[in-house]
Amino acid sequence: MFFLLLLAIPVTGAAVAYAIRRFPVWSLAAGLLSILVDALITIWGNFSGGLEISGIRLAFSPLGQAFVVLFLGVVAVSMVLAWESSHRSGFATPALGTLTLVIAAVLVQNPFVAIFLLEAASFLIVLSAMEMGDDESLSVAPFSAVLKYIILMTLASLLLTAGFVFGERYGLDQSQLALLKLIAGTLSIGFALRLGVFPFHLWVPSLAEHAFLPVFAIVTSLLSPAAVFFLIVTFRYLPVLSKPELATGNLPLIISGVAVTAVGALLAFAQTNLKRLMAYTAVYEAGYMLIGVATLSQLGVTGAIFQAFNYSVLLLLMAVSVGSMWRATHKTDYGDLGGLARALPITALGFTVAALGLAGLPPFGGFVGKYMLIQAAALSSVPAMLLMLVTSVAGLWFYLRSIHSVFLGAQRWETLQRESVASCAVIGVLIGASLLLGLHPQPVLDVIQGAVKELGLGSL
Amino acid sequence: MLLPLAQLVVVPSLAFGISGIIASIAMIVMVRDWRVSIPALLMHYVCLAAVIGHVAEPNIAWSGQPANSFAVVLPLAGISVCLVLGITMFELHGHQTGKKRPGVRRLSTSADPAPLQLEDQPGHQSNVQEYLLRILALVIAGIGTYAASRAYPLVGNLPLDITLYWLVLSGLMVLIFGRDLLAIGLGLLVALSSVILLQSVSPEAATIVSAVASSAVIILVAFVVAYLCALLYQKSGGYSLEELRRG
Repeated sequence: MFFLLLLAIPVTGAAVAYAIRRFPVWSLAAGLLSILVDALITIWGNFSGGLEISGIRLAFSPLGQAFVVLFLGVVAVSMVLAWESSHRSGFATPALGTLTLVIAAVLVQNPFVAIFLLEAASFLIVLSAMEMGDDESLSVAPFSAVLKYIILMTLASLLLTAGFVFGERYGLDQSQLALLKLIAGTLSIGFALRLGVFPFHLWVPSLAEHAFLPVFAIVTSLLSPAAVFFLIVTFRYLPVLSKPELATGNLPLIISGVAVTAVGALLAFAQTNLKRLMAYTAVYEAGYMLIGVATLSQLGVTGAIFQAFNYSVLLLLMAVSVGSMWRATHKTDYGDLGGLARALPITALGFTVAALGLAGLPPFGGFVGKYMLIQAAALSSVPAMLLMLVTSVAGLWFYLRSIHSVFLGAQRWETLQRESVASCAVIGVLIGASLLLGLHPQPVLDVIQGAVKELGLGSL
Repeated sequence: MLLPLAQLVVVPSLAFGISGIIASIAMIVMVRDWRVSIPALLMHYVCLAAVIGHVAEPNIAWSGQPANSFAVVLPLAGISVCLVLGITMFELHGHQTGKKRPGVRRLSTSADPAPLQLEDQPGHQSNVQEYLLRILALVIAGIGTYAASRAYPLVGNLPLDITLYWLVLSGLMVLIFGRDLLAIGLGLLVALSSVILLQSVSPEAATIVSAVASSAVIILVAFVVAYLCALLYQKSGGYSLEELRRG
């Protein structure tokens, strides 16, 4: 009953939002109401025992519940972000449709169905990127972005399915280490494509630059963490991947993971545009999560999943802040901005918290996540840990540089619109969430550790 | 080596299905006219369903007969995909030749784009060099298919592995040689067919829900492609990738 309600409510919300799309405010309000009801069901519903539909089992673990609460929050914030845009009328329906598909992917206990659900969710949300680009002219740039995205997501689905089928058929024997590595490699590339890790990140910058900002926020803050949740399903479905024999031979993957994260940091360092900085931040931070998983240790996987929560909250905070700056100045290049801290103080605070949190500074959630990931890397390889530390310092440097260029120094913009109440409220809520994850992470960590312990990973 | 291939001779429907898949995708790679490539796509879905129906375990009862859910759902999904793409192309090409259709009239803006030039239309550029290149690409894909199915037998059955790798490699060829959004969409759909084939032969994945989910995804891809073609046409007066480069 609760399982069906959890899926039916956002679908109903999407249908109602579509029916009343001529009244954009009411359409978004209907969407937000359905999210609120779904959140209440997620937290207080009775999901014990699961549900079986046509041979497919639905179940809701505590970790799944935590992720669904996060996803509901992401879609709600994206809707508030869309609220202030002239394109808001068409946003609620694809956003809620995407949410439903992702919730279904979390509930379903069959990885093959989950792959298709995540792919359908990706296609549905990028479709809405087409008509809602920030550029009002007859630009065709969003087409390239959407095309890149759908091609790479199809490739990701192909690799993930191949990895699962290969694992199911041949990977059950631990003695075949080479075969296991091939399966792990196939799955890793599939996940890297979904997360946008360098060098599989082609879709991220173009989507950030040309798509409607709430669409980019949903893609990075909802679909990427959903892929991280899917990793748990992968380990459950292919338990042989959790074996320490594979972890001991996994050092090259960890070191190459750290190296590509360092390249991601260099790419982010080269950016002088806020939207592109946001994109390369997503690329750089996704690399950290993949390193955590590559350690195949309880600490690393726990850190990666916890970092997925931080990544989602902090990237969303950055997106809301960039959106607020865009509305105020219609500029995103560092050279056109400057001195915004006085005019947009809440936005400046939001962006600074997002940047410092992503850089891994206390007291924000990013500190706990990065600390766990660096610790896990240190237990696998000291050089990898040192390279991660250097990369983190580089990350801090480019975040500080962007804060200095945009908010401090001489004022270089002309027209200005004030910060909206909605943006300020959302920034406040997200800063609170990041502080909560940083100062009191234990409840979330307990849920994650409970799920990770069941996977039988090495305690390294 | 010849023993597994002998199955193709012994079992005519499997041979028919696999040759149909190879021929239909070769047609998609070679011919750029939508009036050929969309029926070829439909043929590939029907043949794929025949192959799956032949090799995969039955998991549902269809008209009182045991059947595999993928084999039943796939032709229906294929028809839907081809209808979506076919109707869109019919509308757009009607617009190009001046016979504007009601659907396109609704899409048109006050700044109605100029009709496409004849040389931009798929199927009108019979460049011998490019055809030779495409033939060479198909030969390479064929060699790659055979080599990969021998070196990395994913399904563990040579004819099926050949089909699988052919779908992947030829799907990539369609994507590489694609000059318009329709061709890119066809490449994606062919590549997705390999995912469907993989799922249909996996005991865990071959359920009615998987079959419906995979069919829904390919129909969604068709809608995405049709929508992008129509929208790009509305914005720039064409749906070739050249429009994107110019943009």
